Amino acid sequence: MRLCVKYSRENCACYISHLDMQRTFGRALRRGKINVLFSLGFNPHIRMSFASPLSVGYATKGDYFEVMTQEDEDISQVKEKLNSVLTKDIRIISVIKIEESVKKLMAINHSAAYEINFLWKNDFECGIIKDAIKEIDNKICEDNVYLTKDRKDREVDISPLIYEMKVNESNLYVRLANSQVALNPAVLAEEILKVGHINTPYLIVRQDCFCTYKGNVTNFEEIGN
Amino acid sequence: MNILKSIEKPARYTGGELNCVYKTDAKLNFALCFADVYEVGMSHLGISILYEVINAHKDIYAQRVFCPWVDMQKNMDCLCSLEMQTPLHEFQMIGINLSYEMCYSNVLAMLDLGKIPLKAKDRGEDMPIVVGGGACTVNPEPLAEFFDLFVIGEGEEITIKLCELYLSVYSAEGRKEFLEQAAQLRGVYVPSLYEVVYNADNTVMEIIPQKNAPSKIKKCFIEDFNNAPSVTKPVLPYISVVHDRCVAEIMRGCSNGCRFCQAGYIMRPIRIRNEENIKANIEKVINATGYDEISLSSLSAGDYPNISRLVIDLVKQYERQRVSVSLPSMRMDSYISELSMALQQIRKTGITFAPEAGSQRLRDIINKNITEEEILNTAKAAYESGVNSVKLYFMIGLPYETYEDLDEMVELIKKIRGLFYEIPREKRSGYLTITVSASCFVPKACTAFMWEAQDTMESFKEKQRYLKEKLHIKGVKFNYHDVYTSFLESVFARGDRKLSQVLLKAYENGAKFDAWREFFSYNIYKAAFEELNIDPHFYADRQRDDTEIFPFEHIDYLISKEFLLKEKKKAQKCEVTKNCHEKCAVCGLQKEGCIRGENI
Repeated sequence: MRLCVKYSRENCACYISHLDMQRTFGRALRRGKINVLFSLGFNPHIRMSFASPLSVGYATKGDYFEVMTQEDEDISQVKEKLNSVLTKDIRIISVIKIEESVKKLMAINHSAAYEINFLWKNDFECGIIKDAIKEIDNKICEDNVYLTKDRKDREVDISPLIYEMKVNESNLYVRLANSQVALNPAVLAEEILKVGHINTPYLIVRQDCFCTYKGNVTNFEEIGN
Repeated sequence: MNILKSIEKPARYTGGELNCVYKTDAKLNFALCFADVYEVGMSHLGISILYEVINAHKDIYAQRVFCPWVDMQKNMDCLCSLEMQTPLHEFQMIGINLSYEMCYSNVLAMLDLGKIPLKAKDRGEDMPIVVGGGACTVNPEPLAEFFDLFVIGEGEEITIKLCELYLSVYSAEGRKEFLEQAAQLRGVYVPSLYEVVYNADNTVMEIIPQKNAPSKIKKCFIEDFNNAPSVTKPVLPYISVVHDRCVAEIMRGCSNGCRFCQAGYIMRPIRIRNEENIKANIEKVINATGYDEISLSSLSAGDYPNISRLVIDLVKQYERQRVSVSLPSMRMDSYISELSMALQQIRKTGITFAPEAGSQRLRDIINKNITEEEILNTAKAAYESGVNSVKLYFMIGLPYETYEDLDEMVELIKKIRGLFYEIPREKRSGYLTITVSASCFVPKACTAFMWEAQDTMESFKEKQRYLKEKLHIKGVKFNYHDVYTSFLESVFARGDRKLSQVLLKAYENGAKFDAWREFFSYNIYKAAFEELNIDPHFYADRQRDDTEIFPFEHIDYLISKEFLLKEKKKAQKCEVTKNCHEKCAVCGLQKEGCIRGENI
């Protein structure tokens, strides 16, 4: 049986690397006594893969992995079993059954939504950041191109990679490309700080991941239907 | 928490892992410290055992503290525990594991980062009691000035006793009174209660106990090891650590009596945990962690009665969950083919063997009682079960070693390699890789070689060059240890109290993470020795007289000096001593009720 598991992570769990996250869930599946399928060969691995790796330091409210089980499982029980053996900082939000015919989750990624929380000290800093966001937004609307440097110092045009960008009361909500070409929210956050000539720490929380399924952009939870 | 963004592996500092313990009503906070990074400390069995044993006590709360990596050290205000972020100086008691000499500078760094005065005599009533424990307490003298007390021997029971004594004495009667009373407990060494008098030639003349402290501090050990509490619910790290698996301690102590081996002597008597208890513990650990590997830990797993049955049972039991079983400490003679097949069942792993010396003559000298035939038979059995990578551990600079012994080492490696290619192609798997590690022999306290001079640094380097050239063989990788590190280990392993000053000076001049090649600088220590006018060669490569009083003469690991001297003399004559299972060698433990000698 093929399962798609939606999970969240926060606090201490934000600092786990992608590889360690895989190991963490592998062990949780064993603790939860869920009979998973293993790869064949000299060094058997759980047949599990993640939709989209999450950078060290980011929290998430909606990330996904898929896993194969040996037999049919009661999906609500899988969720309960896993939650009972995970730390409070990693939670299973939902478990859905997906058909074999659906492509691998990692192959249908479309975009990911994030909240960027700038930890400003006062209203003045808050104003600077809001102005910087507005400036970047305006430039993208006018020019349809916005060049900046990515984390490996390569030049990149971020304008086609930003699908949504709006300022909420105390944070910035963005939805960014997350398929073959992806934009790391830290690149945008750093650009905002650069434009505002300010050095404010920020936290990134992934809100959800979206995929292209049957020609539409949907939340990963929809692919079970 | 924002600082966590700019440093390497922030998960080292966040805590919050599965199975970590939270308490709010403890009366005594105990900081369980390991003087290396998180990944090393979390791999240490002793820390896991103590964490569980101490936290089982309702009044005591053990929290973990590891040495922050250099990037974090620069950015931190005060070193804190992982569980509750309690600053180190706010604990009542601090236990620091001393597992190897090269962690000493980190011990000072941790005290310093924890805002605790480095010298015990400078600590006031509001400061924690700093306790040292672990393998290096066979000779704790170089650290004497920095510790309030040391635990000599196994820590499970005595740590609880110490904490209970603290609760009943410390607040009412004060620090001095607590230390004096603690010194009366078996296994507790309070260095400030001993005065050391030296001869004109810098050797020790006398060690004088004060305030009724015992003249010999006898080690403590767990008598009923079989039923003693062990690890059942270890903290599961979020990030991968050095030993990332379920470790089950199946046996404590070793009956082989290898003359160089400190652990082999100091962990006597041999105590065995029965199969039923081992299996029950493992089941608890796997259920609590989801580990995919079980490692059966002991000094010499092959001496466990019916090790094959245990391994085969475990393999069968965990096969379906794809949990594999490994044995980290097998002697060549005990690796039988049946066992080898079982171990290869889940995951193909390489094998590790320690012949220690290349020639039979030298193996007899060190009392490593295995023959070349046994080594080769075992290798063959391993190859036939699918093994294609072998790790071999040797030592160079052993007492009475000659270049002929090194030549024989090379020959032995060639034979081990040759055997692989004699097996028909369809029965062996692929190509063989052999990793040869040659460490530099360090004479240690409480061994038959504690009187010996260490080989000189020049001689070590020459031998390394010689072997490097001879081991230029396809499929063979040759690693060797840094001679400066081995030299310093030798200095501290048998050094006296004067070395506290050297450590302090070296620490002040930037020594840290000495066990990490990228940070170790011999020059820092060299400068410290010169400045203090202390000759390191006096400690490392000087032959001791049979009658010399050692700086650790008052630390009693229950192995008699007469026995060790007899072993030393037998080594000179290439005579072997039998495994205690075959014949009791009268090492001194029989006074403690060890019954190994009686026909087992």
